[in-house]
Amino acid sequence: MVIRILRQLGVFLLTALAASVVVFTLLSVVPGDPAEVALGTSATPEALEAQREAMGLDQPAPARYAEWIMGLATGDFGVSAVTQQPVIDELAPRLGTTLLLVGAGMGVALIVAVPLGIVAAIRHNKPDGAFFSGLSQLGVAVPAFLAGILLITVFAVHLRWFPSGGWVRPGDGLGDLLRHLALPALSLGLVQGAVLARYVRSSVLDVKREDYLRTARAKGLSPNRALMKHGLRNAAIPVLTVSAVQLTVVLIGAVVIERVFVINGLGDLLLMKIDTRDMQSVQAIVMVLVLAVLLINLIVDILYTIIDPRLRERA
Amino acid sequence: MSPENPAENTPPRPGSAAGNGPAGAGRTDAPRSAGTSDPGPGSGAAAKAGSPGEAGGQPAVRIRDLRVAGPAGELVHGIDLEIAPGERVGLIGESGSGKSLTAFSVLGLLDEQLSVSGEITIAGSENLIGASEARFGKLRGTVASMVFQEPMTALNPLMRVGDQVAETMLVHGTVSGRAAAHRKAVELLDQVRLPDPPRISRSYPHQLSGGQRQRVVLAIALANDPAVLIADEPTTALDVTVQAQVLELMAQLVRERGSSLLFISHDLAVVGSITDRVAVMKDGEIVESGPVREVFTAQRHPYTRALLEASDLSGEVLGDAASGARSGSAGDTAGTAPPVTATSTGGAGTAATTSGTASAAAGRDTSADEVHDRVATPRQTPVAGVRAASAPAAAPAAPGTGPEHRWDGDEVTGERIYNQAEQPLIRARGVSRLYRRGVLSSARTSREVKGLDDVSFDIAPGQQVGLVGESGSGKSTLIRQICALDTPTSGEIEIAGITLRDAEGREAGRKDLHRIREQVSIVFQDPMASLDPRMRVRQIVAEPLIGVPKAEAAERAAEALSSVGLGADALDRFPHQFSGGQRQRIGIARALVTRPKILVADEPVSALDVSVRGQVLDLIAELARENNLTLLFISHDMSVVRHICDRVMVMSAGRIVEAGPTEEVYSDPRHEFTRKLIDATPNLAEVLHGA
Repeated sequence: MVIRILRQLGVFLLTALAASVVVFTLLSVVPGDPAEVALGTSATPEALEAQREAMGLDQPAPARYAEWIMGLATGDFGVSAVTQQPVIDELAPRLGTTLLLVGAGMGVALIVAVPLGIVAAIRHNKPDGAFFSGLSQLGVAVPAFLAGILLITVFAVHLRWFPSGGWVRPGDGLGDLLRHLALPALSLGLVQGAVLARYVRSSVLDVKREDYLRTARAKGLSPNRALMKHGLRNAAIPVLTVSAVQLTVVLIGAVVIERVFVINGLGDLLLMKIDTRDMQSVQAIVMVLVLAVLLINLIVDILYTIIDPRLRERA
Repeated sequence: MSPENPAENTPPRPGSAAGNGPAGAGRTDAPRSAGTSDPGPGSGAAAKAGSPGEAGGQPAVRIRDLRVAGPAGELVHGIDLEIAPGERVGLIGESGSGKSLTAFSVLGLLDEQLSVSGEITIAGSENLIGASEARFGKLRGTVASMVFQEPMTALNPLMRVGDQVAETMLVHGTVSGRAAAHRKAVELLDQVRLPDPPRISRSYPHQLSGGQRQRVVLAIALANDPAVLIADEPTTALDVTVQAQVLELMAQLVRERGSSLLFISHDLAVVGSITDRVAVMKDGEIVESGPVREVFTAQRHPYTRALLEASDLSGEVLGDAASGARSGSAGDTAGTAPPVTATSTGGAGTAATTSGTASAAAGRDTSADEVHDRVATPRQTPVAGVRAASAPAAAPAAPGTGPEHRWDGDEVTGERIYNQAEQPLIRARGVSRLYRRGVLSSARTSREVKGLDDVSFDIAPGQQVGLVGESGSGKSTLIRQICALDTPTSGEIEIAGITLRDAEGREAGRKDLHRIREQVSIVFQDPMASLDPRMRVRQIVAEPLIGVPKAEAAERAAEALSSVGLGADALDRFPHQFSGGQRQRIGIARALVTRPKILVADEPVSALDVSVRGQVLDLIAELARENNLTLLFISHDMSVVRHICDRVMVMSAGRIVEAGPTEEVYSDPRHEFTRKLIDATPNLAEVLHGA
């Protein structure tokens, strides 16, 4: 088991390294001269040359990559050419905001999906089961930003229950934070929850057909108890796989949702930095997002090992 | 979930109390143990439901006019079946005959979409048809329990085995407390003769073999000493030798507990070896029932006879069964001694259970006698047929007198070349196939697994060679080499004159591999899985013809199909439109379309019903003869190989352990493993003669 986890850790590091090469290369070939961005279009060629040298842009690409990746490893994301601030200072607080948003969104998704999917599976040949199934089908068709706009229209504009946007820091009062978190988390989570519910449903339907569930019933367990005790953990394995993919989708979806709800998160920062051609920051943000996705997958892999004894000893 | 059954208190229909069922479907063999008074559990309910014809002890299971209907129509057409306490009844039939539906109805485990009617009582209960889920929940696992066909999937893969056994007791509160339940679970695992029960109880299912898992399922089923055990093809998925052990064990444990057994199988020999009485099902009806020997020797229904003929490949039973059945049972009156198996653990425990067996059996045998007065002697060994087989097998030549292994030919450089031939079509020398685990594998066992271990043999052109052995013995690995789907890691092998790997380790190139694959065709085990469901038969059969012009390919496909007995109208249909036997014929046509020299048949009939099994075997034999094919026939079933092959090679643990002419090996097995295999193979004739 330990070997398996170590191996997954190794895979994580290698993938992260490979991803960093891709990110670096892509952003290097994007047109635009960081020195020019820093000094403005009116700068003299001599000043530009000096600026390039100061920024290390005269170095060959591999050397620049090496410097970047070494910095990355020590938490140094470089200095923004536009704001002259360390990138990390801008990035860190916004990362916290986005992670909170993503976590809340995924939480909503799971809270919606797991019961909805299980009920839809248990009652799959009854009218209400079909209703739940149809409900999740509807959810699948709605994109997150549209759900966000609808939620704002209903709950912020008409009912005035929640603010239509904005954000407060966690330190400024939990109640206020939750009020600001509610609508964006719902718009992220409801749609993903609807998608996930379909997977939960089919996964539960699959385990319902498993022989060991029949064995459990032959022992005297009621169908629902057999499902709860023997089925759900087995059903969780494929759901976990989909959840990992969904978490990634939620993370990317947060970029858009932050715009809809005017939240100063990582996505908002990313769009802003692209506007100002602050490539140093863009590169750092993209890399952080990539690392987050890889980390999610690493955690899911470790969870597999915990859930499934068969994986603990297999290669 | 479902409302209380309104029919619960309905008195039984007078006409169905005993004797003939509706439509004269079957004789019910109601026990007439009139004198004995056996109140049993729930006698109050029974008195209410009791009929004048059945005073005294209630049957363990009583089924009256059971009908099961699905969306597409009725599947079980009003069957009657009764099982006396302690009686072992077999339910025989092919797939689709309704035998499993019958079994599942008893425990209320039918699919929700099926509707049931009639009457079912277990150990004197009220009529359970339409009973609530809660009512069934109280019966399942306590009064009646079940063992299923597929041990590999019957256990929860994420839960420790001990917990799964303990759960049965905890659900019903038959043992107080978790600790006590776990202690009892370990005891039960010991009773089903699993080695090192404390360790096994902490294992997960994937760490156990199929036979071990089936023992665990048996432990679960017997945990609360049920009055009835229902076993649905419990050994079909197991190797023969394991099957024999599990059958013995099941018979012994059921006997110890005085439980009744309803044993469902398509295999007549297996059913005959473990039950007292059989009922034959066909198309949802019981067409014949009675004591095993009577049904098997004096079949009244043509279907029973057909089944018997199909099962009796050697022709031993139908030829002399009538006289044979009368010949005494001296062979096995050694009797109630506990069956000796390789896995029996702890002499003390077994001895203790023996006395229990004897006393439990004593009380029961008398009533059994009354019921089956036509049986000369009450059956005394649980699985007489299986065990008795060892006696005649050893008779012709005492084991140990001849050479330990049989092989034809010289010992060249100290190695044994099995089945050596002058000009072999397949020539293998010192062939090994090692599988290596990955460097990062966390498996604690050896890094290397020997799929094939130094195997040398010849197969001459036109020979029909059977390859037998248990799962994991290397049969599949060997045929993978012969079909050029894999290459040995050492040794040399030559197929139809083309070298797959020579002694220096040079391996065949792409062209040669292709040439070998043209010469070697394979028929797969599962005709359902080995045909692409989205391809028409025409495409399936013509697919191996690579580089053949379309018109010619079509012609040859039609030709191949007609040679397996399928008409041209089959060409444009899809696999799902055919029965299992027909699908296997399509598979054979596909194998023959390239006009190969060598036909490899990998358990081609093990997934088929008994009645078509014989036809498909005969077809393969006939086609092999007509086309002068060299046949390599893989099977775990010695009797099938005996039916079709002139030579046999026995494999065990990646090695060939014995080879020779089939009859010779069969009548005089030299290697211990061959003897074990032959002894374990259920044999109809032995069942009847030993009974």
